[in-house]
Amino acid sequence: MFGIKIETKDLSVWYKDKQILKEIFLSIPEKQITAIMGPSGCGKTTLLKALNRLLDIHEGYKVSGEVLLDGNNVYDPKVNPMEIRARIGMVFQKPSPFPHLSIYDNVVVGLKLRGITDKKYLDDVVKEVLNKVGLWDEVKDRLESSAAKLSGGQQQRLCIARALALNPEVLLLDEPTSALDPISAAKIESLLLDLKKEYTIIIVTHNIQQAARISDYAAFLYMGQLIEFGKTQEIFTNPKNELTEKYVEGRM
Amino acid sequence: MKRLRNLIDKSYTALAACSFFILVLPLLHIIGSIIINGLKRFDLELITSPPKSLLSAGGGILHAIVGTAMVVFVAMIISLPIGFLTGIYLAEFARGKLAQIIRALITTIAGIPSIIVGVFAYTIIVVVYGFSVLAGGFALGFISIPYVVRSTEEALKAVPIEIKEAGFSLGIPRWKVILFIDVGYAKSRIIAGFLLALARVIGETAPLIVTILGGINIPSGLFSPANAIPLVIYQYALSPFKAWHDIAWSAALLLLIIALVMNLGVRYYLKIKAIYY
Ligand SMILES: Nc1ncnc2c1ncn2[C@@H]1O[C@H](COP(=O)(O)OP(=O)(O)O)[C@@H](O)[C@H]1O
Ligand SMILES: [Mg+2]
Repeated sequence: MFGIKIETKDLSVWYKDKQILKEIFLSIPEKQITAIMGPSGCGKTTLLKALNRLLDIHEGYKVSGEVLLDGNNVYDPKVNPMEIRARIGMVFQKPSPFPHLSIYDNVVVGLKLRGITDKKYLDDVVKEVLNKVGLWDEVKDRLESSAAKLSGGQQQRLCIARALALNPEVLLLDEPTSALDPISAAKIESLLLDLKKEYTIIIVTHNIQQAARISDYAAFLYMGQLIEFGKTQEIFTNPKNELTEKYVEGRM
Repeated sequence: MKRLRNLIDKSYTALAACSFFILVLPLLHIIGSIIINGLKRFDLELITSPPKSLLSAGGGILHAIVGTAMVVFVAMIISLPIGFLTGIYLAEFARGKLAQIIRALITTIAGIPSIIVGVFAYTIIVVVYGFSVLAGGFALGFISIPYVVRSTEEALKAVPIEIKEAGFSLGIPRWKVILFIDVGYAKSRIIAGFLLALARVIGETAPLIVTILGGINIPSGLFSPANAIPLVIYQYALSPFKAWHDIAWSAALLLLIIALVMNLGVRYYLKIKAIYY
């Protein structure tokens, strides 16, 4: 068995008067890939943003319950949400490199804005994380050119590199391949399989095959409720809940 | 029935065409006269030398070009920081009563006739320091604040939510996200807004009459009287001398060209920037 990296206890989220997540109990194993599946609008994105306290930046959300990161509640009033966001990196559905920054600066902007200016260190980080995401050879000669000129797949890998530059423990990915062509998507999938040696990965996807291909654990979310969670193989071959069965068989 | 509809259709088209010409013809007439009359004295002397003397014909409007540059510079020093910060506040923080008050204030300022702003500048600056670049710059700066506020606010509101979220997800404080991610992303539109605000006030005449006085000297500093291109046009056009009328036309042509270059420049700038966004 693996250690538990993140645990949600009785996690509920409201937006205005509408309850989006309902009493979620979920244990995310360390250095594994956990897929969160479910139909559109069931609350997957909201769940991810609740984990790294990204909901805090928007108005109108209310969170109750606990999110434990290494056993400590990230919603504890003593906790600085910025530290949580640095420890739990995030990659979004739409590739969102900063178009006004160079490729180099996209990678290190988080470090720079967190006060790290040592040029040698930043250079090393850029090389290391771009290598990790398989982008180094493609961009090493144009690190100073705008990130907006990269292809969609390259942009998404750059965004993964940007998150990795902060040396996070957890990586959240919200449908990272849904805006990409199949080849770019496949590259990202194999990249994630590499990355799980070092990071705990949570990937939201509504591509059932993708979840089956790359995840070790899978959760099925439906209308804000966690219907089922377990080993991916179990979920796919022997689902306990009828809804889960319908969903993984593509009958929903 | 069909014929009637046809008729209505056609007359509507004709009406639209008519109003278009009513709108455009005077504009073409104005631009045409400025070009034809302005070309007579549109020479190197116009932009390289000040007037010869108060009453003789020769010379150019160098004093007014320098005056306009200085006054607009002071105006921008005043309005850019105030307008920029207010724009950020309204786009990123504004909630509740205070924001409403500020918004109402900005709308009010935008609606004040510029001559009133000039008189205001007169009572608080001219009375103390005399007619000066400072007074004119203050007046034009005040007038341009709403433009800077609105363009900054709109540019920031156009920043996609993914970009903001991506910024926050790097674990950096809000003010850094705003300053380095949002403003960075929106910077070409913000700069374009600055330039358009500048283009907007460069032709202001009324507030300058009561703040910088005019005259034929090249201003020597912040506290010296000055002239400005639109003010020269106004003063020379009212003079009895043909030679001065010609200079006024040429100054008008110069102003027209400046405004045109700025507006087209901003458009072009935004277009090349837009490729990346
Ligand atoms: N800012 C918001 N404004 C309005 N509705 C929201 C907002 N955020 C979430 N919701 C609602 O919460 C539900 C879950 O949204 P989301 O987490 O984005 O779902 P998913 O990612 O699974 O498609 C949706 O029904 C959505 O309408
Ligand atoms: Mg979503």
